Amino acid sequence: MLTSLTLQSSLRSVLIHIAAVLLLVLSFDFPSRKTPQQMPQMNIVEAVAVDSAQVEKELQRLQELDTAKAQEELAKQQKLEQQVRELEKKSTQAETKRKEEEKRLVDLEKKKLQEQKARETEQKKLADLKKQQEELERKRKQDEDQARKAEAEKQRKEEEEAARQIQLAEQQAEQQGQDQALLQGITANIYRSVVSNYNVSGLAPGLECVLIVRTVPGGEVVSVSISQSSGNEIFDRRAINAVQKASPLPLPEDPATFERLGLRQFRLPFRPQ
Amino acid sequence: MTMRSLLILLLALYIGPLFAADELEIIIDRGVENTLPIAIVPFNWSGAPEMPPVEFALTIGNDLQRSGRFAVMEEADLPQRPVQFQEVNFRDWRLLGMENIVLGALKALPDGTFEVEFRLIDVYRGAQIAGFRIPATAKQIRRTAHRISDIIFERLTGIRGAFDTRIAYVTVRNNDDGSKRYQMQIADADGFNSQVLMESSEPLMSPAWSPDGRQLAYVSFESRNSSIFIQDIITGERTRVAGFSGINSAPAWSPDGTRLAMTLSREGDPEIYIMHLATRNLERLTHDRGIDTEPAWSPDGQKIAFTSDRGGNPQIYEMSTNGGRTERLTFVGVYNARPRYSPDGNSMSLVHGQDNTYRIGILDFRTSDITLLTGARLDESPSFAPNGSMIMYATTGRQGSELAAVSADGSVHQRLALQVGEVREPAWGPFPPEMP
Repeated sequence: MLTSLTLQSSLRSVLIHIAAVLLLVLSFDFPSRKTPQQMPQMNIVEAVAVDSAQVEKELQRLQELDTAKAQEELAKQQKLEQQVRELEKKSTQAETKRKEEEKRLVDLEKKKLQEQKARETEQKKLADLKKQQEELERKRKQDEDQARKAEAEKQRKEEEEAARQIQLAEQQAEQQGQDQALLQGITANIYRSVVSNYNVSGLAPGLECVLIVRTVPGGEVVSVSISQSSGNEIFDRRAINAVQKASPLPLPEDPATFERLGLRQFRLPFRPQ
Repeated sequence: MTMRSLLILLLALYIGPLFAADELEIIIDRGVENTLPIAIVPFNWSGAPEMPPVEFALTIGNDLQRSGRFAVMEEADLPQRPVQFQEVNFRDWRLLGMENIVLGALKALPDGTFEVEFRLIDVYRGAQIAGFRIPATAKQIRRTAHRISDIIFERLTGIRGAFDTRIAYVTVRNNDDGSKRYQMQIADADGFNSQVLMESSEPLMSPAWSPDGRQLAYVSFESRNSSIFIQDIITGERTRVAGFSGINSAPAWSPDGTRLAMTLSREGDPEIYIMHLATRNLERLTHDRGIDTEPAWSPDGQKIAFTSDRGGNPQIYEMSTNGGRTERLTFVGVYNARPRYSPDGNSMSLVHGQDNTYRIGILDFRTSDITLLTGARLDESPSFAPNGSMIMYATTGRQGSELAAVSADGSVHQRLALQVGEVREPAWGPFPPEMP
């Protein structure tokens, strides 16, 4: 029920729409059939001012005049035509010339254009080149810059290193100065220690032997060997015993100091007077 | 680089090798005069239940101690008593500063003889210096101990030991009836094993060893007058070589054993003579109105030293055995007598008298100084050991005169506690012939 109602109303609306569209199309067609709208309105105003007799008269006069004048006009026209032909002839020549000239000009223009083009190409090339050069230069400058920076850095590092070396050398010199004093003291202690254990009682005079003594930090003697024998067994033995009995020798406990002073191994020549 | 851093681097380079490249060198140009420490471990005794015939360790220890060159460890202080080398704990000995130890064993064999084994060990090297196995009869056993002492002494001092030597001396005993009994005795150098060579109720004097140690010359008053005898110590056979009128005294053998120097007064005052033993021919050496006596031969046999009062008081003079000029050797003091050359010929022992004391001194020929070795009131008759390391002499003790020994440097003195009674005029015998 409801459906039928809707269908009825829809149909009605479609019909109304079609009618509206038709009206719109017809109304559009009317103006397009008429010629320009403004001109007829002005003609209408003038037509009101001129009367038809006067027009007849004028037309008469003009017909009389036209016969005489036509003769004259013809000659004139002929002459003019002649002139025109001459002119035309001249003009043709000029035209040819002009055309040649034009062609020349065109050629010239063409050439100019070519030249221009070539110049432009050349310029572009130059510009490219320049650009390239500039790029290169920029790069070169950049490289140079980097190199200069690297060089500066290197120099700075070298200077730092030199300073460090100097400091190290100074420390070493100071250390060695101290070491020398230390070594002197240790040497004197070793001498005293060995001498006090070296029994020369009854030893034959004029003999000499050389021992190589190896020690560890703290002074313990780990080995005694004969580097050069006196040729006298007792003499050699007394020397060895002196070192062994003196063990531990008065040497530094600190391994670093011990090594630096070269105390791991030393020579002991025994030559009692 | 700055100049300063350059300098420092150069300095570092200069100092551097001082530590790194060059080895440290310390010259030991002197030492100390010390006795050698030695420990004698008691010898292991095996074979019989009874006590060993000789206390080896004690005998050897006494020998070495007496020489003045050794410090022998007291038995109670020994850290251990090893018998074998393998048993030695070297660390213990080193801690005590002990340099040498002696180990040994004495074995009784079924045939009644003995075998002695010993090792001398260097403690710091941990090695054996000497090791011997010596067979010995019961009679030789004590001598074997002295031989071991000699080996040790020689290996550790470089000087031949003189412990296996003998001494001759005179003893005097008072008999109950008031008479005296004189004996010429011979004993081991340590005073043990004494044997009587000759006995007399009249004085015996001045024993002198032949260089081969087989004979003894001495003076005997047995015939009321002094005579010089030579006696074979093995056979006991004796010969009177000088029985001239007057004094016959102070015999001294030449080093080659062919001649005997002596003092004779057969021509008036005492003079030095040399007797050629093979022919008994006499050669008068001195010609002086004073007393010349106590001749001694230099070790090379070229000179004779003697005591003479030709200068007003007794001093020592020297002359060639061929005669010729006499040279005075002593100038210090008012009494220098009884010269004996040291075996090396570099010095001379003598009796130095001053203010009524008589002491043993050493005259050093290189410095002409006399060093006094003894300090008693009355010391006499010094006699060098054949190795020159010791001097034996007679000194005044509680029982009268007794024997004493002093090391040649005067450092060690020892009395030889011997027999009862007075002991006089020791004469130290020569080295024994090398044993097989």
